[in-house]
Amino acid sequence: MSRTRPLLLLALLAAAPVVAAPGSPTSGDVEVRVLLREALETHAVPPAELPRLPEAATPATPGRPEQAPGKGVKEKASAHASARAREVLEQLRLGKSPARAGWQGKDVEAATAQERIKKARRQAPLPGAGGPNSPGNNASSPDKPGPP
Amino acid sequence: MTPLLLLLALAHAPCTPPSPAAGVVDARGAAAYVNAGEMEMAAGAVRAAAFAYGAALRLDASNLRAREGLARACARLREDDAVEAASAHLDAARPREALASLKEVTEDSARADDAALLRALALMELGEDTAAHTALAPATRSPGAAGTARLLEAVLAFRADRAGEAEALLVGVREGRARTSAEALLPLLRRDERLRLSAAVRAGWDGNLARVPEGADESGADGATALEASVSWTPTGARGPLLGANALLSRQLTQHAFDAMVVDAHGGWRLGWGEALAGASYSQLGGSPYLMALRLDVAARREVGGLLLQAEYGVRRELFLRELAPVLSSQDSGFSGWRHVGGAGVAWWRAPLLLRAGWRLEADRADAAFYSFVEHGPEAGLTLLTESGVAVGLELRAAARRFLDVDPSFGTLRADGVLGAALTASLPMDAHWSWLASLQGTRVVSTLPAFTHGRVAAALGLRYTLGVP
Amino acid sequence: MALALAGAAALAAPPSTPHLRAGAEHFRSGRFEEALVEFRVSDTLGEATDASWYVAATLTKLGRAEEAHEAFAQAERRSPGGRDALLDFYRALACHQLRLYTCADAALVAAGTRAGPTVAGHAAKMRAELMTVLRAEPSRATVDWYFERAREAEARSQLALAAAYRREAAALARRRQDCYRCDGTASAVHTSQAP
Repeated sequence: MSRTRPLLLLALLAAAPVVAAPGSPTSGDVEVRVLLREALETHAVPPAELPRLPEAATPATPGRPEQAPGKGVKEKASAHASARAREVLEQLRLGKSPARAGWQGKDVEAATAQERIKKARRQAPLPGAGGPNSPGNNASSPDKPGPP
Repeated sequence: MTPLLLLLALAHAPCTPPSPAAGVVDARGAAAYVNAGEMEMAAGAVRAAAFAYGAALRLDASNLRAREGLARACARLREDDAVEAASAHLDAARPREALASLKEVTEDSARADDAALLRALALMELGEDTAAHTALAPATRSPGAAGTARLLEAVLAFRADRAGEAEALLVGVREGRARTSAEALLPLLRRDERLRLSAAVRAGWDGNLARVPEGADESGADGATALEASVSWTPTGARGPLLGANALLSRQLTQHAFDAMVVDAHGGWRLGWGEALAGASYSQLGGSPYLMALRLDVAARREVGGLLLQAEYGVRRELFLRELAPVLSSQDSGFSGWRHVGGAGVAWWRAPLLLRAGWRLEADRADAAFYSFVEHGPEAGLTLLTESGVAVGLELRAAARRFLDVDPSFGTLRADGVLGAALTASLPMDAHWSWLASLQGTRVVSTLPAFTHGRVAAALGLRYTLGVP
Repeated sequence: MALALAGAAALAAPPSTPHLRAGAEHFRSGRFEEALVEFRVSDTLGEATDASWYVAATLTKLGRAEEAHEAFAQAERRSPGGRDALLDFYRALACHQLRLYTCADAALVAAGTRAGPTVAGHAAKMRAELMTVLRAEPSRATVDWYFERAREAEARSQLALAAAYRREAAALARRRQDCYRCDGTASAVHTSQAP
C-alpha cells in the first residue's frame, strides 16, 4: 500500500457522514474507489514504443500475444527452419573444399614470397656460403656457420 | 500481499480442483463468472477463462457449464504449457525432450498445428527427415501454419538434394515471418544452382605487397584492381560430378611484376560425405609464364551431435616455368616441387552465427631443400549470417613455419611465426548483385630479419552471381 | 482469492462492491487476467455502474487494445459519469496501441492534469511524442492503412473501432496538402501505387 493511501482514506472517511444515508456512498464504497484509483495509478505507465505512423506493410495490430496463441511458436519455427536451411547451405559452402578455393590465391602469395626470398638472397649473401651466382646450390649443411 | 492471501492465491491456481465454500451456494454469482469465462475463452485468454470457471465452481459446485468450461480451458492450458515446454527444449537443443512434451497435444487440439511444426523441427534436429515430413502434414493443412510448414518442407527437400523442389516451395511461401525467411533464403539457394556463373571486380590496397621487412627504407605498398570469373556445373545437383573453371586477372598500380593472370579448370565428384577433385592451372606473372600446376583435393565431412567435423587434403605438383627458361639464376630455380595442404576442424552453427575452429598443416617440398618448409597452426573463424543475407566473417590464424634446410645465402635456418586476421563482408543488394569488402592483416616474425614484416590489405568489390537450374 | 477478498470485504464493509474490490486488488498486484474477470462479474451483477470502465482499463493493460477500445466506447454509453482522468489516460494508452494517435491525443487532453502529478507527467511526455509524429504530413499509404483497418473492423462488427479508424484516417487526410481521401470515400485501389 502506498504511503498516500491511508492519509487519503482517512481524509475521505472524515469527510463522509457518520451514518450513511440510503443510496449514498458507504465507507466500503469509498475504500474501493480509493483502492481502484491507487491500482490504476500504480500501473499507469506510458507506452514503451514510440508513436510511428503506419505504412502499407505495417501489421494490422500491435503485438497481442494473448489473442494470438501460437504466434510465437510459428515465428520460432520459422526462425528455426530458416536457420536450418542456412546451416545446410553453409555446410555445402564449407564443403566446397577450402583447400581448393585457396590454391588460386596461393599463386600470387607464393610469387611475392619468392621474390622476397630472391631479393633477400641478393642483398645478404654470406661469403663462401654459396653466392647468388652459384646455380642450384642446395648443398647446405647444418654445420655451416651462421651469419655474423 | 499477506502470506495468507499468497497461500490462497496458490491454492486457487486456475486448474486446481475447486473446493466449494462450505454451505454457501451462489448460483447468480457463479453464472456471472461462467459468463466472464466464456467471454475470455472466446477471446483466446484461456488462463483468465480457467480462473473464471474455477471461481464459478467455488460458488456453485453443481454448475455444469463451469465444470465443462474448466475442463476445456485446463486441457488447453496443458497443451499451451506442453507447446511452451517443447519450444524451450528445442531452444536448449533437447529435441527428444521436446518430442516427449508434445505427446500431450492431440491432433484435434487448438495447438495441433504449432505442435506439428515443433515436432517436425525436433525430428529434423535428430536427422529423422522422413518422420519430420510426416509430422508436418497437419500444419500444411492449417491456414495459420501453412507458410512455416512450407518453409520446413523446403529445408527437408534441400537436405535431400532436391534443390529445385526446395526453391519451388520457398517461392510459394507468402505468409508473414515465413515469407521473410523464404525471401532471404532464395538467393542463398540460387547460389547453389546446377550451373553457377559468377563474376567479380575488386579494387584494393595492399600496404606491403612486396613483403618489405620492418625497418627497410622502401615501400612495398601498391594498389590493384582485379577481375574474377568462375563457372561451376553440377549436372546432378549437390551430389555427383562437378566441373568448374576459374579465372583471375589482376593489375597492380605500380608494381607490374605482380600483375597476374590465372586460369584453372577442375573436375571431380561430390558425395554426401565429401568430394574428390582433380585440377590444373596455369598462371602468368608480370606478363610472362609463371606457374603450371596439377592438383588433387579430397574433403570429407560428417555431422556429429550438431557439430560438423571436416577434414581435407590437397596436393599440388608445381612447376615454376621461369626455371625452364634457358637463362636462369640460382634465385629462379629450386622452387618447383610438391605442395601439400591439409586440415581438420569442427564447425558449429546456431543462427545467425557459424563458428569454426581447426588445425591446418602445409608442407612445401620444393626441389631445393632450403626452400622447403612445413607450416602448421590453429585457425578459427566466426561468420555472422543475417536473415537478409548479409555475411560478416572474422578469420584468425596462427602458424609456425619451419624451413627444412639452411639457405646457404643466409647461413642460418629460417623459421617464421605467422599471425593473421581477416575481416570479410558480403552485402547482397538483390538476388544477383552483392558488395564485397575485406580487410586483412598479417604479421610474420622470422629468425631472419629480412623476412620479418607486417602487412595490411583492404579491398572492395562487386560480385554478380547467376544460378541456372 | 476472489472469494477470500470478497469475504474480507464483506466483514469490513457492506457487500455492495465485493467483485470491484477483488478486481482492484488483483489489478494492484499486477494480476490483470484475474482483475478482468472480477470486473466483468461486477459489471454483469450490476454491483457498480462504472465497472465497465475498469474492464476497459484492464483490457488495455493486457494489450488487448481492440477489445479495450470497444469496451471504453461501451462504458461511455452505459456509464458516462464513471469516466475520470485516470481512465482517460488508460483510454489514451489503448488508442496508442492501435496507432490511433489523434484519438490518444484527445484522450490525453481530456485527462489533463487531474490524474495526479505522475500520470500528468507521463501524459505530457506522450503528447510531446505524438506531436512530433502528427506534425509531419502523413503519406497516402498511411491514410489508406487507416481506411483499410476501418474496413476490417467493420467486417468483424467492431463498430466503435471502425469509426475510430475512420476518424483517424479523416484527421490525417486533412493534414495532407492534397486532402487525399478527405471525403473518406475514394477508393484505395487506384492509389496503391501512389507515393
